[in-house]
Amino acid sequence: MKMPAASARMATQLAPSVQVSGLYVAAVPSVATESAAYLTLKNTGKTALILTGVSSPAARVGMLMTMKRMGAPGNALDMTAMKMVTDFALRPGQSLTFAPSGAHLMLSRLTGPLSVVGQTVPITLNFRGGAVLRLAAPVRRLQ
Amino acid sequence: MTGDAVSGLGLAPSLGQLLALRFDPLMWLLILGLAAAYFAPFFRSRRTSTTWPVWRAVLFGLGLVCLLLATQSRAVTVTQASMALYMGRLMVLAELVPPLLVLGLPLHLKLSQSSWPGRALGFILDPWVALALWSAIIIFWNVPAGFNASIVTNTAGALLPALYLIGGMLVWTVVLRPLPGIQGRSMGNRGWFGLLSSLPMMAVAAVWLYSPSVLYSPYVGALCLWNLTPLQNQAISGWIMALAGLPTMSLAFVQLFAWLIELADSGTQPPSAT
Amino acid sequence: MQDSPPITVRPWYVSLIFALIAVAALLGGVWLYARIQNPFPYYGTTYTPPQTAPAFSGSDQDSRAYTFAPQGKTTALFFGFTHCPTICPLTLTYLDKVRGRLSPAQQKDFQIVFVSIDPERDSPAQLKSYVGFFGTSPASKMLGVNVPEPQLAAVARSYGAGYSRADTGSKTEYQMNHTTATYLIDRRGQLRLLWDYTQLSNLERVQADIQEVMR
Repeated sequence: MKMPAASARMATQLAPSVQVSGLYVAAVPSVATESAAYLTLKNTGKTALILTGVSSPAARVGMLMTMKRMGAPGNALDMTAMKMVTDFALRPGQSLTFAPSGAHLMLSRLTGPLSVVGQTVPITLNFRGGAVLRLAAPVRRLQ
Repeated sequence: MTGDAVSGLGLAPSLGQLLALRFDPLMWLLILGLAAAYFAPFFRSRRTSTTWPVWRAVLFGLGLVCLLLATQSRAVTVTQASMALYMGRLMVLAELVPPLLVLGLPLHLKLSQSSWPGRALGFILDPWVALALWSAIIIFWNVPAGFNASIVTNTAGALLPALYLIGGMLVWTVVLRPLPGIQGRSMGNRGWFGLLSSLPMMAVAAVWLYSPSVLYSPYVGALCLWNLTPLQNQAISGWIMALAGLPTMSLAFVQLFAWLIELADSGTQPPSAT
Repeated sequence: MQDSPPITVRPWYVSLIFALIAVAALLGGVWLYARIQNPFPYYGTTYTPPQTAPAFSGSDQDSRAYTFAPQGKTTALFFGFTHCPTICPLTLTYLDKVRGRLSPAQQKDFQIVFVSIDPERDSPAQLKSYVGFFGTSPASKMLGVNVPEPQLAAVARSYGAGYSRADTGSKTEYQMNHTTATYLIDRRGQLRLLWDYTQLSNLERVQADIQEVMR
């Protein structure tokens, strides 16, 4: 990722070299105030990328979350907790998958219902160094 | 499944907390039975002679203590929260307990090849058989389906540690050859055996060290001890397995060298009586 | 050193055959062990012996009094909350899919019960929308149950389920940490097994467990 000479460049020109696949936002009941976006990011560039944030007009708050658990299922009182993280790092060539059973991009305090399959939700990913990735995520039911 | 199994350990348990003992009657009975079977004849023999060295008894005792800690400590309850700890336990069972127990066996154990236990042991301690069993254990239970089951289901949960212990006992008994009455393999044979038997573990360790993703679904979203990520845990498990495999490998090289020297010497010296 | 008797060494091909036999015996033995532990190869973690599923009372999504007791239906029970962005939707989605794979007669005999661990925020209306969204079959309705505190704590504990509020600094916006197991209870009210949520994606085996418990 080359730093532009002039700092007045548009943010979109600082697009990170990533490949996005399997992007969607989970459809949730109309009363739900939380949903999450899922996708796989692959760093196709030569430098490490650090995802620092997610935002969307569909939610007041976007958070990078991981799933954490404690105890063995079946033989201990195990609980699963979500834990906010400040960033996710992607080495060159590394892939990172956000999925319902693990790390996810949480959309909290939804501004409107996300119950209609077929809607499209704009999602913005911010990377360290000012790079920005703008995506349009289809809303669909969890598979 | 009931309240008493609640681990109650925080996310950063200390060594003391992890090693606090639990009480599973069957396992304690087994360990105490082994201790009785070993130490009763040991003390009887010490009264009349010194052919049974004290250091062997100490090693055997240490082996039993390690076995107890690996199977009866609170560390067992946090398997889901730390792959590295789980792997550490399995490696203690496969690579630490067996050599201690085998070295603890006195040399005067006599088993003839024609006796019934001699035949059974002769079959199972055939290096080919031991190598095949050990490879099967390592490979089959590190394929995700096998490994996942060992973490998530109760049935398989007790099985895998037992298999690692049995597999380790086989390998180390072949390598250390405590029963010359039925183990007739030369130094070179044992060297090659040791080298080959350390390969499956090294392969698994390499996969864990270099895998860019978490291979086992129960760990994908696991809340890990000591604030590690599941991927870090997997890589650390790779290190643990690689390090645990080193003694077997080094010993195998030593034995191969000894064999080579023997080969070189055999041309110039008359064959010595064994 | 004393002389040891001469040792007969097997030819390599005999050893090789022995090795194959040993591996077959090992894998077969393990398979047999699993079968003896559980005559049916259950996918979930079984309760051996089965335990009586604790009864509990609360109100359902239509604000009617609801008591869960052995009711002649095979039940998949899950403790969750409606503000849960991932695991609860995922679990209910999978359970509904599994329900859809059962025969119509079996579906009539099967129910999915969602017990809220966040009774303060999960009103009947909230629950109704939630289970109505994930339960896609009108014939086999998904149930959403609100059990008030302090009874809820006792109910959860009796199932070995835990939950706690994750502090995010706000009184109305918080997440819950909770046990993510789904409990399968047979029609006589016996707790038979539980699935971890990571297991649910294997619909075929979850379905097989349910059908075996229904027999």
